[in-house]
Amino acid sequence: MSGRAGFAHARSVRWLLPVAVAGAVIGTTLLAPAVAASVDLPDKTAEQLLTDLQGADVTAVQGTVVVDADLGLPSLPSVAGPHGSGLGVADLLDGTTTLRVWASHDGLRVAALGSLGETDVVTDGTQLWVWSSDDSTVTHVVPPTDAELAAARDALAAAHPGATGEDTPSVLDGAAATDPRAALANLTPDQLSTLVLAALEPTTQVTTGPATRVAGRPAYQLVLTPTDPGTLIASVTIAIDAAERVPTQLTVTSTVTGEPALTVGYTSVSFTAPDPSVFTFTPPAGATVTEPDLLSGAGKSGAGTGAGTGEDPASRATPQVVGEGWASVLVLSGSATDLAGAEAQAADSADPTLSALLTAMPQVSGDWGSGRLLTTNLLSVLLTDDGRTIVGAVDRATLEVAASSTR
Amino acid sequence: MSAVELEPTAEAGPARTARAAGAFGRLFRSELWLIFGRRRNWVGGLILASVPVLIAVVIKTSGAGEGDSFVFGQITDNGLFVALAALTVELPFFLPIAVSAIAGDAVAGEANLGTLRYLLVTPVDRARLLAVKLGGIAVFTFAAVAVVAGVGALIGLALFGAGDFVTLSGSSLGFWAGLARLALVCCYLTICLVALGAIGLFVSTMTEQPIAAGITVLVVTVVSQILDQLSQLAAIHRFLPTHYWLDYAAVLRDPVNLGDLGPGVASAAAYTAVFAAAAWARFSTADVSS
Repeated sequence: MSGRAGFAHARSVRWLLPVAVAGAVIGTTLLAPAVAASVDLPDKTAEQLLTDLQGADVTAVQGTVVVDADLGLPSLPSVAGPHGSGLGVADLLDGTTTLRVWASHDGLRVAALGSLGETDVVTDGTQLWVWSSDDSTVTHVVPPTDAELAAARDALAAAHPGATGEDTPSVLDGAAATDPRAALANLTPDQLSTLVLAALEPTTQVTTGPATRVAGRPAYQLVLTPTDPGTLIASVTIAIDAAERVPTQLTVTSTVTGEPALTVGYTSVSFTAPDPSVFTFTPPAGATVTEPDLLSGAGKSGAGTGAGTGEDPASRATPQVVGEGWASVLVLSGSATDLAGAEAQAADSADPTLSALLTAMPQVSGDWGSGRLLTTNLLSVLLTDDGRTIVGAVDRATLEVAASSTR
Repeated sequence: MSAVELEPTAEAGPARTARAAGAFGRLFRSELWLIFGRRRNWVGGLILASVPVLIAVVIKTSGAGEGDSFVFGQITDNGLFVALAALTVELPFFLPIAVSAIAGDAVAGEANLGTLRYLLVTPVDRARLLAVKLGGIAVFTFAAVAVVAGVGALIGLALFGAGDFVTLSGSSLGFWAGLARLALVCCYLTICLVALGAIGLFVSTMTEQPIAAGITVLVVTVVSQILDQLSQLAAIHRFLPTHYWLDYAAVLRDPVNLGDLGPGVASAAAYTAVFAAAAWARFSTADVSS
């Protein structure tokens, strides 16, 4: 009797080994990130972090960036790329995209990794290559020479005497009124940080978050919380590498879900210069190479969709900003293509995502007219039937107010 | 109850080790003979090898299709891609069938034929017998992958020649560098599939029906691949045995980052360790009556 009992005991004891191995594996996968996440950094104020950002001295970077988007787009029929390598637009907007990034003085390369597919953008500063493995196509862009640019500018000036270069509005407009650049150049990093905080003050609460780890490296967190009602952005969190003082992760949290709707950050990063050879590209044999002519608008491949859409700045939609701060709304009116045209064009085009998206957008109407509405966790888009496109990180009501006011 | 003796008789240290090593070698050779001497396994190998031949002949006669994926599209430029295309096509189902059949047969097959008890009477340490069985599964898995890749490479080179080896990143490698990448893909897939073999070895110790064991493993493979497709289950995807299989694409990028294979290798090693240990726990105390 005792012998049998002993045998049964030996039997059950032996099962401890596989259980222990499984436990060790699961334990390391689940607990290791939690243990690694604990960081001990001296406290810093938001102002100190902003000053740190200006003191960053990073000239090169290489690493892996993961874009994790949960925009809550309306669910679409299968919109994976035609070859299913997971590099479609839809994956970038709703899903996880892995990018590999190299950057230094010598150039820039970004590779979007799909399963058995890859899209690369490569530039060494003098030319730009875009490679797509799914259809083995290469787009080669060489910037026009100065002479070509001057000729094009003259031609444009002759055609549209009124057209001039656009002024890009500075974030710090008003803070340094007269000559912003000269005034900013004389500021110390500390003063600039104070200035930035003061400029953000009316619309944004700037705080620090708990120290964290990004790509295994200790990082501080700067949290921007919009105080404007109407915006869909609950907060923007920027992780700043403690050692190199550069942002390594950006998280945008939505008021709709209360969860991060967009996270862009390094999962592994090194601040050493990559081998310059990664910035060169030679189209492989058998690839289709197109070289778009930047000055005439349409590419040599004939992919351009006809007259008037790309080449003539004056006929383009004039953007108009309604509202302030985080709740500001961009209104593109007088768009060349009306909604019906856009739908027809999308149905024609090879991109199934766009046409599926357009038909999935519900019809809405109000005192501003009628159109199609797209609401996501971060962004709302209203395409009115009279050809206006109204976009903002705001809720539907704010968009409709903007639609009424710009009618 | 006819449980056979669990431990060989005690002997002096070094002599015993040497004898054990010799016995292990003999046992391993006989296991390989068992696997590679079977006609049905040769038929299985022929079926595996027919896929690259089919791919190569079809593409040679009708050309690459418009919507073909990168790997298929490259075949006409470089014959080595026939091997990669065949591996990609056979990875979800054909290769797992081969591995499940062999792994399911490992212990249950012997029990079914009634040879297991004779094997254990010799006497052979049961842990050692399991190690031999797992080793045999690993060798067979590599052979299966190598047959697909080898036949694919040979017929591809014969029909399409050896042009530049274009990576997923659009760079062009020479012939030997391309061949080395193909070999790396084979090694990675072998490691992934051996994990499946370890699951099969465990199931094989639970039953005397080799077919049942093989089908169980195949079901595990298919269910794992289905679960991997459901985005609602994203949280458990990294724990699925098949989740990292397609990561072999990392080998086809340039510059190559072998660290991308790390999770797949770690997952396969974990599955192999857990299920080999479970097979040992089950088999070392099992009543063997047939």
